[in-house]
Amino acid sequence: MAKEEPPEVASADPDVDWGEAAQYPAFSALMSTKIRFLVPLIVISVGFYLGVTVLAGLAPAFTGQLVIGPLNVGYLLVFATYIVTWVAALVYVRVANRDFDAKAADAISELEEREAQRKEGE
Amino acid sequence: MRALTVVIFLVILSITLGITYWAARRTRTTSEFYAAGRSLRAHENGLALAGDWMSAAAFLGFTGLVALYGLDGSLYAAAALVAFLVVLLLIAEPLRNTGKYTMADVIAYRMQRPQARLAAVLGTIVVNLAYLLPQMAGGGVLVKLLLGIPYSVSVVFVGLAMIVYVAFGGMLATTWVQIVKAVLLMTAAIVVLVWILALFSFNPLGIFSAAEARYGPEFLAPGNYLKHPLDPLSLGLSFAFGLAGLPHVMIRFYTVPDAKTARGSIIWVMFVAGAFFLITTFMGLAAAYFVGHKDILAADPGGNLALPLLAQYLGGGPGSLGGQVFLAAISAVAFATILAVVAALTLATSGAIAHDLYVNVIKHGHVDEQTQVRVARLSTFVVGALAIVLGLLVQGLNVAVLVILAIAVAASSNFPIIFLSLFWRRFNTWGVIGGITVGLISSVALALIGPVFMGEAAIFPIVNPTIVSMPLGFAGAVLGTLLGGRGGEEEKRFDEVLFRAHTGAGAEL
Repeated sequence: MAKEEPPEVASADPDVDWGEAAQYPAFSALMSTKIRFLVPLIVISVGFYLGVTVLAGLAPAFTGQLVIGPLNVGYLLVFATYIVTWVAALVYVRVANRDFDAKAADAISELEEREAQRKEGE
Repeated sequence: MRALTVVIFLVILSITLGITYWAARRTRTTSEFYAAGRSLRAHENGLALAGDWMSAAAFLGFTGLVALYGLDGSLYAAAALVAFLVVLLLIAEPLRNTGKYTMADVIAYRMQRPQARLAAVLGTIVVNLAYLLPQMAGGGVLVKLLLGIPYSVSVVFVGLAMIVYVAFGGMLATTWVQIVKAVLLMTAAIVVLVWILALFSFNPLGIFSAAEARYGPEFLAPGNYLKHPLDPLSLGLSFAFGLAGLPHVMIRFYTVPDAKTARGSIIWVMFVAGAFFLITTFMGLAAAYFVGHKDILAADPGGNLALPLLAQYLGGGPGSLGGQVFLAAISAVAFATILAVVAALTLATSGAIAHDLYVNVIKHGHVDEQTQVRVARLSTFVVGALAIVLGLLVQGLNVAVLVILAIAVAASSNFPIIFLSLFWRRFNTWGVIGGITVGLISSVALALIGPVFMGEAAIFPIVNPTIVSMPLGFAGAVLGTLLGGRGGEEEKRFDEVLFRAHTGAGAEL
């Protein structure tokens, strides 16, 4: 197959060995933190909503039961979906701003340092 | 009273044209045309995202569905919020870090093969046209209804307006038209909500009690609209993952300076649009109680006029001065909504044609800056003209199926290839082609033999094809990848894509 022109990237260095870069400790630390945090968060938050839809589809009698005054189980779960979704988003942004961004910056500086060292060595 | 409507329309039109004039003077480079110079702030992009996502289908459609079917309509609206969580957690930041102007850029960045870009362009154009047509038709009907001019003239009018916004003002004009529209829409929704709550002595549960008193508790139970047991889940999957495959929404993340701002803008849209989606439940139930199913259905079998009718009721009822003022105001907001969304879709489609097809596939990236902008503007005229012609052709057809189709195709073919490009090491060009083809064909085919298109005689029982077509799209992508074999360039590039997607190293500035 034909090859597309390589993308022009601002601070790209064509000689970087990315396979090696992906193994650097700072980047590995970033990725493992992200995976440990994101996987459960997605499963819980998106899973909550999908669970509500499964319940509405497969257990309509239960979902339609009135619980608090005029509100049925379904509406309580719909309102809970809004809360769960908003809370999950805020939690993510808080952790990302505090932790992920700093780790990403570390990964970039480690890459730059090692590249500088490699160039000196040549 | 028509005079008042005309005045409101003209005000909206002159504000948006003023924005376009202002933006046109700031739109000279390619990055300015497609991405507003990547200079938007979080709240600006967040409000514009809200504008993109609160389409007429949400504004009028969700309210109408709640008014006619209770809980099922509210499940729809909640799905629209959850969608942004998927985008926030998985897609937005990597997209900002690896793409340039279009959705296909992300795929091409990983694969670096024109075939992969072409497949992504196909997904972009099909989704955008399927999304654009119902909006054009809806805009045509709305203008016809309000100004009394023929449908064909209205469609041409809507089409010309969107061409002017995009061709001259690019992403900056599109963004500010979206922001104005989002603010108008939120204001309208809040006014209506407070008005309704006042009638129930500010007890939100009173609205539920009233709706139940009139139609019985079954009205608020599930299953009134989503008949098949798997309908709610399929709908949820479609919305939750489809948004991440909608090109006109995804390109908004290129308009901000970095991933952190992209993140911040999603918080804005989640609270603004989320609050709006929540309000549609209250507006819908109030419409059911005050206007009644009979009149809502008489005005439009799909329930799309429930909100305008509610506004008319709140203003004092049909024939009263207040009722007419309210009706005119809500309809004008709906008109602004349609204009803004069609502009965004036109921009995303022009980008696929000018940037992806012409500049990258045909010219291999060797096009100077001035020509790129000229081609982008030119393709805006072509896309706009095409949209007008298609809008004229679909007059009188039921285009509701296209709304479902747009989001189902996005979830079944675009989402899998974006997701796998970013997260699967072995994914390759053949996988992109397999994912797009299988996702596209299966979602279109299943929608065509489904209940929206075939009614009672439907062969496939679920309204939304996504529960089947999204797994098929993923399967097509995996199968294509395996057939493509191991050890290709694409596999070697995974580490670079991963590093850049998650750190922002070398991201477009």
